Amino acid sequence: MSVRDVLAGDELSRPLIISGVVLFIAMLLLPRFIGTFHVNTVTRILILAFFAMGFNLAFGFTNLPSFGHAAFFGIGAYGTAIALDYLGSEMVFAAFLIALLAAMVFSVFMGLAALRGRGIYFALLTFAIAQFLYEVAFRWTEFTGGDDGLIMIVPPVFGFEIAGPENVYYIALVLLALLTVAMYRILNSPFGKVMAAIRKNDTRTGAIGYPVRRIQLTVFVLSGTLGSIAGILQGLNNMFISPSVLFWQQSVDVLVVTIIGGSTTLLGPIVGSLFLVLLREAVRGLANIGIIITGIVFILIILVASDGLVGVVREYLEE
Amino acid sequence: MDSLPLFVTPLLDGLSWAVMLILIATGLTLIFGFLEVVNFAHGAYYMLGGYFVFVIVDAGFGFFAGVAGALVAVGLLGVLTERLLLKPSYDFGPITQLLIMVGVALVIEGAVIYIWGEQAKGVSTPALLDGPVNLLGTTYPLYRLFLVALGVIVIGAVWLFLERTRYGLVIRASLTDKEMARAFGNDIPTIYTLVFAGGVLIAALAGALMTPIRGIGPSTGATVLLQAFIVVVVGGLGSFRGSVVAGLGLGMLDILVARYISFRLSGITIIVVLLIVLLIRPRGLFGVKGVMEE
Repeated sequence: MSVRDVLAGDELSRPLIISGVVLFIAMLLLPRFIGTFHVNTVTRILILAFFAMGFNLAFGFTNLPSFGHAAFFGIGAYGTAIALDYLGSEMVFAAFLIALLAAMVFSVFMGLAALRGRGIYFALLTFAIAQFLYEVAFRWTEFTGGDDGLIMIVPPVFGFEIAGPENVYYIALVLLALLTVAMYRILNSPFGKVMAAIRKNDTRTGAIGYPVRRIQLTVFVLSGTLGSIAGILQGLNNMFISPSVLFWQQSVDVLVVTIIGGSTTLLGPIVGSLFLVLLREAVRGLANIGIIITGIVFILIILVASDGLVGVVREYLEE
Repeated sequence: MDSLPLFVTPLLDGLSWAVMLILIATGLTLIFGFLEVVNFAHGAYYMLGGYFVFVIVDAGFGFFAGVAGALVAVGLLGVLTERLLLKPSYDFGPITQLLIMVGVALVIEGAVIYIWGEQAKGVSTPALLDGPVNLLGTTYPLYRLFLVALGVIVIGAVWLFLERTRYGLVIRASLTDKEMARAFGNDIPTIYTLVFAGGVLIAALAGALMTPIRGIGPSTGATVLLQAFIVVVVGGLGSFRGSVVAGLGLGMLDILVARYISFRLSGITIIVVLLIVLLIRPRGLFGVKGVMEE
């Protein structure tokens, strides 16, 4: 499913819907068949996929090259942990809300600041702001535990355990499914069409009367908030947060994953996340060859296959 | 006169780092100014300079051989990168090329960890330059003075190149009017390669020279990259003068703030400066107006 397909026709073919539902059900049942370790791996894929999909809303679909999305990821994670610390660990939903609101507010400010530049300058601004947040968090050790990180203790909610990979798996799966559907609906909506117009030529779109800045800001805030949800999931999953969630490596990760999967496609972020996490698992013993391979694949995709892995598969299927 | 010694050490520390920072930033700003490429891998090349020195010294060849070797190696890598990755992709636009360089940075970083592991490496100061020097009532490491001297020479050489050679003229002209400058030469592709390779080579030089002082590790590239970016943006993207002035200012500011105010603030001060500059005068000190609206 590419953006082109998705935008061209809103007839979602029957087989596609059915296979989507089947896949979802299969994923729900999966944990019973694979060990805890593998569940953890899949959970990490789901979280990264969620993060990347939210990211791609801004990056791929509206041409806002954010190099600082780690900021939202980190605010989600740290926000929840710190809120739980201060409010007491029973106020779980309040903590989530606080983290989300913090991310939303931050994304407004970050968006306003970064949108003063276009293209490269937007990218640099997001990079700088996010890195600034990292440096602050890293140093403000009384608040954030600095390099040692923060431990997150989350009690059961309504009798359900929500921390740890076995539980976050389901939460992440449902959220990812919802996001995918929501993304599809957004892209096909009038708003989605304006996003596409801005992506193709923001000057012209502005010239015919659309409030481009405002739309870009809206998309950016939405994207950032989604990113913070991913951060919350990450915190729940590991029950531990280190400053690395804010480091620009995290921003690069989500960017790389999205592009490898295909930033012009709906499912690209998911495919890319699958690729990256599986690759890292596969080469664990071989001392970080994974980074090299990721880099090479990344460059190749940029030079040769701009629609990413999804694009490659689609072309292959169309042969 | 009594308090002079107290200032000398931090000032000279600041100066020696500032000079290195200028070397790194100059390459980055010229690459951006002339090739319109944001070299996200610039820190990685700096890092390679350090690692090559380490390897050569470890093999028993001495520090100066190490530096020379690092220059040759990174210079070659620079040429390869430009020819193989950048030349074919100029039509894709600056963001795509930025992303390509992100990929290059990843590959270099991965390779470094793969070959040399996660532990930082060190190199001892070359015997010829080791030891203290009596200066203005205090002693100061000779090596650092050497850095300042060499750095100034190299910066001077770059300036001469820009001001007095034909290639330099094309480069400078290109910064103000790209189309016009292109019209004046059929060896533009060569200059492209030259600027890129030269830029990363100078960064590698700084990396090699700093290794006896700070060591070298897989995260060095990222740290340096951020600082170099800040200098380049504050100085003005594409401006050689800007990177010199900003490098001097920010390099000294960073070290002095860390020494005199709080160790914690090192690194953060310059990011704050960056944010202020980006919000108030985004083109930087000497940047070309309107360049933000690209």
